[in-house]
Amino acid sequence: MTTPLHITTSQAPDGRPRLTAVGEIDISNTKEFTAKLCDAVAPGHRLLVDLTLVTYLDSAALAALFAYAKQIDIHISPLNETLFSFSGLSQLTTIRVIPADQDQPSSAG
Amino acid sequence: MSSAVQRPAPPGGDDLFSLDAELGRDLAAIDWAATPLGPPRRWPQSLRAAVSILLSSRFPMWMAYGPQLTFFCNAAYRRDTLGRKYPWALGRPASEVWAEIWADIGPRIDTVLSTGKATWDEALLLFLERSGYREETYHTFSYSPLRDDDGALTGMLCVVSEDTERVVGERRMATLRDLGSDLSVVRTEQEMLAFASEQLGRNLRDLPFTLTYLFEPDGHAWLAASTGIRAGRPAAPSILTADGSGDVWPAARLARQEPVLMDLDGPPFRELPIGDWPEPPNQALLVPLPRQGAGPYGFLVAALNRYRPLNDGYRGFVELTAGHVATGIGSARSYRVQQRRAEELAELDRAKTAFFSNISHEFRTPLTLIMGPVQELRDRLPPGDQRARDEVEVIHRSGLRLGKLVNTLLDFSRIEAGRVQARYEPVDLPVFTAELASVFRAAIERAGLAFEVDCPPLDRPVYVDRGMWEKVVLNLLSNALKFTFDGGIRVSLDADGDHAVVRVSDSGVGVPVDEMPRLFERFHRVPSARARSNEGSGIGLALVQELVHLHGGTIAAQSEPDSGTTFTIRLPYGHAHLPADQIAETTGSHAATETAEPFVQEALRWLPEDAGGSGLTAPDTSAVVPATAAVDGPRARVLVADDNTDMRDYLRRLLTGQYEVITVADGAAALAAARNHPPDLIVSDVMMPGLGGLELVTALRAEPRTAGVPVMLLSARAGQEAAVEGLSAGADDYLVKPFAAQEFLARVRGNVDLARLRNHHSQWRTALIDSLQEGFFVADADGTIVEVNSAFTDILGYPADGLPYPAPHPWWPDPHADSSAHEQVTEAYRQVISAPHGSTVVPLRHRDGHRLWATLATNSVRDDRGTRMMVGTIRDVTTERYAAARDTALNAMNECLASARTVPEVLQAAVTRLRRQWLAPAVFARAGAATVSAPTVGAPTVGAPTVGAPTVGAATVGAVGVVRDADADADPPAAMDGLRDVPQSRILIESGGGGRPIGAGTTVDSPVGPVAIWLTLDPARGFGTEDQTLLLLLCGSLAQALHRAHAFDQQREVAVTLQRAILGPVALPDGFAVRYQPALEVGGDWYDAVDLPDGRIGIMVGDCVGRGLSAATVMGQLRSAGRALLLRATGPSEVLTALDQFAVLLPEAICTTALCAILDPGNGQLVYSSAGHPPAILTLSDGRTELLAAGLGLPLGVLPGRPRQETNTVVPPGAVLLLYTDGLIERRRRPLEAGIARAAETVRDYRALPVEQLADRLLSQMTSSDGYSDDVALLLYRHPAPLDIAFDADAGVLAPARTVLRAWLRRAGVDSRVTQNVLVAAGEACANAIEHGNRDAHGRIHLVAATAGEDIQVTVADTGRWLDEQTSENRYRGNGIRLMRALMNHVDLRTGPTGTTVTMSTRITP
Repeated sequence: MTTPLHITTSQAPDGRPRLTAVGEIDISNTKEFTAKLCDAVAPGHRLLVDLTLVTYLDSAALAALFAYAKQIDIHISPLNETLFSFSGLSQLTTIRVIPADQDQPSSAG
Repeated sequence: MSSAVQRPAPPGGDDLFSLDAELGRDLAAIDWAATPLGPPRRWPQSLRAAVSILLSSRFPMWMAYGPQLTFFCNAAYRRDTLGRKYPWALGRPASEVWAEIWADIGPRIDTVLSTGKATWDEALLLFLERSGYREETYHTFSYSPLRDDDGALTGMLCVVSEDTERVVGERRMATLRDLGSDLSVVRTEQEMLAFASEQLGRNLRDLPFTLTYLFEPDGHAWLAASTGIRAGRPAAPSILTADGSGDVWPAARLARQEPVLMDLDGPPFRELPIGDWPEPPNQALLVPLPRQGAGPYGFLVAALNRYRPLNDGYRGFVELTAGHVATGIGSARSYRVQQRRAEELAELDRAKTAFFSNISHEFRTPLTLIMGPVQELRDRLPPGDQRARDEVEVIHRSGLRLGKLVNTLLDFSRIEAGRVQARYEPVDLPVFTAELASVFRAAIERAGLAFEVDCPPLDRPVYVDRGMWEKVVLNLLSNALKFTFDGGIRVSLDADGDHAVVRVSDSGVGVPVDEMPRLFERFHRVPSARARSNEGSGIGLALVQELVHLHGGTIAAQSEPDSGTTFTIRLPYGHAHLPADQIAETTGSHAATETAEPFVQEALRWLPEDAGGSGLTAPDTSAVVPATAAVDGPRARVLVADDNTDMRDYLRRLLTGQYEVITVADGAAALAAARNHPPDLIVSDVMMPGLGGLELVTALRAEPRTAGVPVMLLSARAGQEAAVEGLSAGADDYLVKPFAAQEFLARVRGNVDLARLRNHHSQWRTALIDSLQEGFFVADADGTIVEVNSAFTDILGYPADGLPYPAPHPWWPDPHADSSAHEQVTEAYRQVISAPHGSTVVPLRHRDGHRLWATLATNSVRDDRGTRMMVGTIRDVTTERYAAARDTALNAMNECLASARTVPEVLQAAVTRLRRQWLAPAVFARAGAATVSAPTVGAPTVGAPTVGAPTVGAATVGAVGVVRDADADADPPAAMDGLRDVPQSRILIESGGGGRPIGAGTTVDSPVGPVAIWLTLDPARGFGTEDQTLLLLLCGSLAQALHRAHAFDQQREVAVTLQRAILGPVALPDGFAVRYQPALEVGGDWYDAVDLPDGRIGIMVGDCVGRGLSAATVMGQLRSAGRALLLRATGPSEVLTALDQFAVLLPEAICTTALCAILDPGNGQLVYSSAGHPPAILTLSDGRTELLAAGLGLPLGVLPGRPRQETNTVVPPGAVLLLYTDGLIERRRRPLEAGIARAAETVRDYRALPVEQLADRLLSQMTSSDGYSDDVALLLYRHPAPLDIAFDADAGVLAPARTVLRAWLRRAGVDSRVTQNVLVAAGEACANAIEHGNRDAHGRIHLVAATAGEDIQVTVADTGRWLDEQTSENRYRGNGIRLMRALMNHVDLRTGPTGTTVTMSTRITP
């Protein structure tokens, strides 16, 4: 059984590319996540990685994000704030915490 | 999403069966189409619902559905009840499945189906055939109706719990309890067996019949008791032979302690009684009746219930039964032996005392009256009448012989009473011994035997009492002559180191080997083929031994039949071993006294007439025994007092030829000598220093004892005046120096003859008084004692030459050391001398210091001068007094022991009592070190003791060690070890300086092996025969008490075992910890926690009134009833209300207190009700405490029918709930609230511990110094129950594991942000385990989460090796560990050979 994870790519309202993950990321699906992330990162744009609907992610997922830290911005839910603050990722890129009640500006339809 | 996640959909098709994997597979395999129910797809909703309830329940259930009542059951029912009928039974008609009990249950099912009402049966006996035989089972069950989709009755659902173990266990327990119910009253063996039979006969279910066989010493066994079968039937022969050939029962194997299981087939076992069953038993278990330290008493044949398996429980029951019977037999036999021993001792003592006093009294007086006249007759007989002279000689010799016997007995009497007046003086032993031996020479040689005396000089003197030593030597020689017919007798003496060694050997008939041990025994006569005489009292050698011992010496005998006997005496030199006050440094008279004559006379009479010749007296004795048998009769005693040595010697020379002369140098000495033994005449000089002659006369006349003694004064002063002066002072004659010898002798003769005539009467009076065994005294009006007899001196130690004794007398108790006794005597004596006559019993002190009790009887008389005088007798009543004191002491001891229950308590009570009895500095008791360390009954295996820590167990029975009662922590003296070699009912006495006892001990037989008792004594007090008899009697009582206590210990052990068996083993719901700790006397406390069918948990804690086995029985019933009621899913108040009704039926259950609660483990909802029980304690995670004191009602059964309250509350996450019985909190003289507060405090302090550890901590913290006086049952729960899951180390299962953990964290009240941290940290740990822990193996991960106070603790364990931070190769996982440390407060990583465990904790709220 694989951990549930849906990954979609789209365009953010500001026009830049966006990768949205919904579900949980653990070692059973890190490869999939890394592959999708790699595909989505394109030269010349900062990719918005929207993780606000990710209810769980572990150090493997963080490692993937580290690999592309300079090319991405990250949105997370308050649930994972502690995790990210300990990760040190904020020193390499911007991380925005999006409260659950705030409307996602561009959630996929 | 995978399909597995979608499970919440209603069960359809085969899914219905997947609620239980294993059972479902078997259900699915059934060809349902062939049954009236048809294929499952088409089953009605009602059937599906019923099946799904059934399969998902953990409680045993079965159901019957449809026209044929098709059978379904769940896994629990399969496990508990169905047995080998599974899976055959599934899908079959119920009537076929339960054919053997259809007669019982069919009608009940019909009732349910026809009325729609549920049935309820409690502990119904059903014979099931599920294990290959008809089995006795008990079930509590309810049939409830099932309706189809249209509401029509179409089947029934049965919820059932099997009670077989409980019902059977209670039945056996009742039998054991009854068996042990009356142990405190010791009975005869027969009564005990009858009692046991009565009890065993009441349980014909477990024991269809029993036979109790007892072994005889020759190995054969006899039928002592039987139950359920008539003695004499083929299976119950009254005798079993020792070799066992052809016997029904193999007695020989049982004698070797082998239990035997026998099939009861073959001819003797036809037509056996059936007990309480439809068919006779087909097996019997034979177990030995165990006896401590020896072969079994016998054995018990227990026919077995054919409807129950012979498992450990059943076997244990039979062994316990046999143990009970054996204990009873042991107790009864021990009682019998003790009883007999005590009676014998008392009887012997009484007989001895009576014998000694009687013989003295009855013999001495007539002897005196015989010997006096015979002596006179001998002197007066005319020389011609030879025949008359011969006859008088016979009388004389017999008199001497009788006198010797009486005197020997009196010697014993004195030795026994410690009244020996010895005078140990330095003696030239070779000379003295040779002299004594020579007395026998004539007799020995006349018998034709050689007589050799070889006594070379020793380099130093030996301290002996001359009189005693004479008796030693004369007795041995007399003995040698008596048994020697050829060869000779030899007396030899030499030195051996610090000892002088004297040997008396003969070549006589010798002593048979088997008689040697009893040679020195009193009144024991060695049967001999040949002796010179058949006369003999059997006390000569015993006396010799006593006398030698008084000298601190030893005597031994060596003998060979037909070749002779040698007695060897060893006496130590010096006098350190002798009492200091009996040592004399001067040497007294050197001649053998009259003691010798009776010995020689007796010996001569053994010799043939021709050899004896005409010697009527022993020729040789006349040389050493002066004048006693002189022809001219007893010589008069003349006392000469003169300060001039020449004059004294002259007078002595003049008088010696005709008189016995005593000379003294002054008046005072003359007065003392006259008082001691009044002479026939006193010749005194007038002029002497100190007390002169005239004053002497005055003093003599003033005392009744000497008033009649004639006095002849000698004076240098001539003249009428001087003579008148002397005569008027009371002198009888007056002679002026110088005088002619002839005149002097004539005057002496005249005075003596006159005086003899005059004093005849008073001399007889004196002789008679002296022959009285009772002490005699005369006192004047002031109470001054002026005359005493020799018995008086024997009793009190004060001789006549110390007279007069003015009051207060020296034998009165010391006014300082013993003031109350002194006052008592003073007052008693005052009354006695002022009244005309009187009698009183008073405590007195012998001159040597020992205490004695005496009866004083007095009569007031007037003497010839009209002066008021008092005559009195004094009798030693110490013995009688001690006999009375002995009864008192025995009663006191029995009273002390009666209240002691266990072996250690009994020993403590005994040493305390013994110490008080003897006012001893210390008393010790030591139970045999390696004798018994464990109970003797077979270890009961009725239920594994999984409950609580067995802190108070029967281990206290054995290996008691030393019990003491002493001022300080004194250690037992080394002498106590000597008791190992001392047989029972013998006493070992340790002597200190001067031969005084400083310790005494004995051993006591007991079921825990021999118990050594040791008393450290005050040497001044002494430890005589009376004390020894008393000690043995008291130890007899102790032995009985030990048997009783041992039985009590065993009974308690049984109760504890059974209590534990009832309480456990149980599968506790998660999150609970329970403890049961029995008190000394087991009470009726219980707890219960049970999973209810609806997922909630029923909890109960209760406490029955009363103690012991009966309370345990009530407890068992209440607990079962409570559990059954909880399982019916009613609320706590209803449970208690129903128990009220139950208590009405079981009166012992009334007033039981109980707390009943139902807990929802999901959300912590708790509903509870209390029947007078102490409140539960709820400790919150932050340490605050709440008492669940609402919902309090009356104890059970007090007001049945009255509604009960119940209260709802919540056990919040992290909180600890404590239920307990009052034993935990109740302390003497302390309010209950204090105990509750202390328990609450303890839980608060240790609330972070896991509940199991918390339970241990609670028990150890709450216990008082002497343990719990009451039972303690307690139950702890922490909410939520810890999460404990295990799963494959596979990435695919991480998500479901997270789901479970997330749900648990919510139950534990963990904040969402902390939850996320915990999830990630745990996730990292799991990921590590998956990626690195188990590369090769197919591993498992074990995840545990628990609250601990305000913390939450998560443990992830795997079976592989982990990366640690230092050797991290993989950056990602290294990050994982860092993350764990960042997210959790505390992370501990341990890697071992079997795997890695990571333990993490954090606060529940950030």
